Amino acid sequence: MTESATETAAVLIVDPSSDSREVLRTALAHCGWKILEATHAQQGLDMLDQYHPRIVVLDVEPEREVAVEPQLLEQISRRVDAAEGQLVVLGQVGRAAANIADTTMPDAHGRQSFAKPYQYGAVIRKIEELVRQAAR
Amino acid sequence: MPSLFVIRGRDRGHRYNLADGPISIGRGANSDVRLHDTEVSRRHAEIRRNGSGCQLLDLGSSNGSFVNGDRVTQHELKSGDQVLIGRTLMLFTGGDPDSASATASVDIVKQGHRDDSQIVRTMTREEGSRDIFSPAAADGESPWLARARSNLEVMYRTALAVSHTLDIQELLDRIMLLIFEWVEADRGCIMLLNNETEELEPKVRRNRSGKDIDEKITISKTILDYVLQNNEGVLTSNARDDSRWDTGASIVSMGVREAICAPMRGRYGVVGAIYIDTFTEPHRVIQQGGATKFSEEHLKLMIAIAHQAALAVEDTSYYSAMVDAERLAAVGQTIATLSHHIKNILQGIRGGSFLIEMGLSSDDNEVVKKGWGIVEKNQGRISNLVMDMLSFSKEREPDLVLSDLNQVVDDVVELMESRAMEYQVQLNWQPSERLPQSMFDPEGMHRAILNVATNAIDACESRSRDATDYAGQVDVSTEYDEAGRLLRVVICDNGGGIAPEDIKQMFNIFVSKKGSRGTGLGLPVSQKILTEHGGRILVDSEVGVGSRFALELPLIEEPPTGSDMPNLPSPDDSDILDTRQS
Repeated sequence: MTESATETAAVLIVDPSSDSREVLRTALAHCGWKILEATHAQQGLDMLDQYHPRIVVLDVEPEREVAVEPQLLEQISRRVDAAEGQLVVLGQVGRAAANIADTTMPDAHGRQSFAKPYQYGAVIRKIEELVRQAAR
Repeated sequence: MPSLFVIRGRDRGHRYNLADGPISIGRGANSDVRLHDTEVSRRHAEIRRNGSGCQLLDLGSSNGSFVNGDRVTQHELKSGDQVLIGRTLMLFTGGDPDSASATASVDIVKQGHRDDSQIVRTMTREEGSRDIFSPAAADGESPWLARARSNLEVMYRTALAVSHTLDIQELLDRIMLLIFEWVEADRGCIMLLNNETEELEPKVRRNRSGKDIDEKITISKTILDYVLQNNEGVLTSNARDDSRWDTGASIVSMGVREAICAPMRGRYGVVGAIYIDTFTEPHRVIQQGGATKFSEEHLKLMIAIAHQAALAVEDTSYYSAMVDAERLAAVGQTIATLSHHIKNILQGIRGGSFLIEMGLSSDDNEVVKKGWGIVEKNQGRISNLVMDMLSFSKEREPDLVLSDLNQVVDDVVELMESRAMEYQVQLNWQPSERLPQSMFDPEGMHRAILNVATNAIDACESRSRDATDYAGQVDVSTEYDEAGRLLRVVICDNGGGIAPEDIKQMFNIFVSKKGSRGTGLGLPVSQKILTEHGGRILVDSEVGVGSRFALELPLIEEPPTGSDMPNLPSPDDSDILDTRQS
C-alpha cells in the first residue's frame, strides 16, 4: 500500500451491532486507516455523501429483525458504484435486494458478500485487499 | 381475497391467497403457488385477476389443468371450483363482491329503533328437537307421515351427531351407534378411503351387542367395488337372486342375505363407505312370510346418512390438515427465529475470539480484554436464551420457598449494573423497608424481573442512539400493598415508550422490538412465571416518555410446620395483563 493511500483510505462500517463495529474498528485501526461508523443504513447513506469513503462495509442482515430496505441498499450500492468505491456486504440479502445488488455492483467491481456467521479474518483480509487495489 | 386451498396432495392444508397480479402455479422454486407434486410442471399454470374475478390459464403444462373434472386451457374461476393440477386438488374460493353491499343493506339496530318487536319465547336446541319429534304429534297420522317423521328425526339426529366433534373416530362411532338405534342390523362397519393407498380401511365396526366385537366381519369386495366405482348405494336382500352379483362368488360363500352398502360421498369425492348387514335364519323368514328387514327406504336413508357423514369427515379432515399446516408453520417460524438469534450470538463470539487471537499475537492486552468482553456478553445472551426457552417450554408448579423479594431484586440489580454502565444508563434501586417475606419461587422470579429490567435498560439504550442530550434512567423499586396483600416490583424507564398497538402484542412469543438482542421470549416468560404464581404484570407506557412495568405477586405466608404447601391463587385470565395507556 502506498503512503498516500494510507492517508486517504477511509472505511465506513454500517452495522447496528456494537460488537461487530468494535471488532472491525479494532482490527482495522491496527492498520492505521480512518474508520467511520454508522449504526443504520440511512445514517450510512448520509455519511457516504459527506465523507466519500473508499470502502463501505454494510450489514444487510443486521441484528434487528428488519433487514436493510431494498431501496436503501440500492441507493448505497449506486453511490458506492458512482464513487468507484467498493462494497462489502455482511449477511444475506433477500431475492429482490440481491437482484438490485447484482445489477448495480457487478463482481468485477469487487463486491463481496459474507454469509453469517462469517469469519472476521476473512472479512478483514478482503477489506485490506480492496484498499490495496484502490491504492494502485 | 380469493384463495386456493389444497384439499388433496402433499401440500394438503395449505392455503394460498391470490393477491393482485399474475400468480404462478408450478413445481418450480419461484412459483407463487409452489406444489410439491412430481406430476406438476415447473411452470404449470397461472391465475390472473381481472376485476373481481380470477382466470386460470394453463401454461402448456405436460399433464394439463382441470377445473371440476374438465381439462381447461383458460377458465374463469367461480367460488367452489375444484382445480386439479397434477395430483393436487385445490378448492378455489373467490372474494365475495356481494359482501360489501350486503353489509350496507343490513342495519343492526338497538331495540326501540322503529321496531317494537319483543321476545315472546325462547328455546334451546335440545328443547327444539324434543318438540319436533314429540310422540303426541304422531297420534292418528298416516303411516306415510309417520315414516317421514321418523326419517326426518334420523336425519336431524345425524346432523346433530356430526356437528359436535372434530375427532373423526368419535364421529364415526356416533354415526354407527345412530344407525344401530334406527335399523335392525346385525353388524355394521364404516370404512374410510386411505388417500395414499386408495384402499378402504375399516375404522368402526359394531354388532347388535356392542362396539367391541371379536367376531370378524367379512365384507364382499364385489359389493364395495360396485359401490365405489358406480357411486351408488346398494341394497341386497338375497345376493344370489340379484343379477349384478352373478359372478360375485364371495357373496354366495358368505351367505349374506340382506346388506346395505352406501358410498360416503362428500363435496370433493368419495371418502369411504358404510356397510350394514343382517341375517335372517330360514325358519324366521317363513314365520315373517318372506318379509325382509331392509327396505328401499332404509337404503335411501343410509345414502343420506352416508353423505352427511362424508361431509363431516371432509370438514374434520381439512380442519385437521389446516391445524397441522399451522403447527408446522409455527415450528418453522420457531426454528427460523431461534436460528437467527443463535447465528447472531455466534457471530458475536467469533468477533470476540478474533480480537482475543489478534491481541495475543500482537501482545496487546487491551485488545484481548475487548475480545473477552464481547465473548462474555454473548455467553450471557446464549445463557439467557436457553433459560428462557426452558422456562417457556415447561409447564411447572413454582417451587415455593419463603423468600425475600428485596434480596431477589437486589441480585438482579447487581447483575444489571454492568449492562447499565455499558449503555450509560443510570440504574436506581429503592427497596421497600416494609416488604414482608413471602412464599414464591425465587429462581423463577429472578428470571421474570431480570427480563423486564433488561428490557428497560435496552429501551433507554435504543432511545440514546436516536436522541441527543438524553440520559437514560431506570428506577427499580419494591412496594407492599397491604390492603391487597400484594408484593410489587416496579421497573420504570425513560426509554422510547411502547405504542398502544405494540403493548397488545408484546406478550406474544417471538414478538420483539429489540431485533435479535431481544429474543421475543423475555416478556412471555416473565408473564408465564407471574401467572404461575397467581400474579400478573401491569404495563403503563407512553411513547416518547417511558414505561412502567409492575410485577405483582400475592403475599403467601409460610404454612405452619407439618401442614401442606399453600395453594396458589388462580389468576383470572382476563386480569393477567392490564394495559393502562396514557
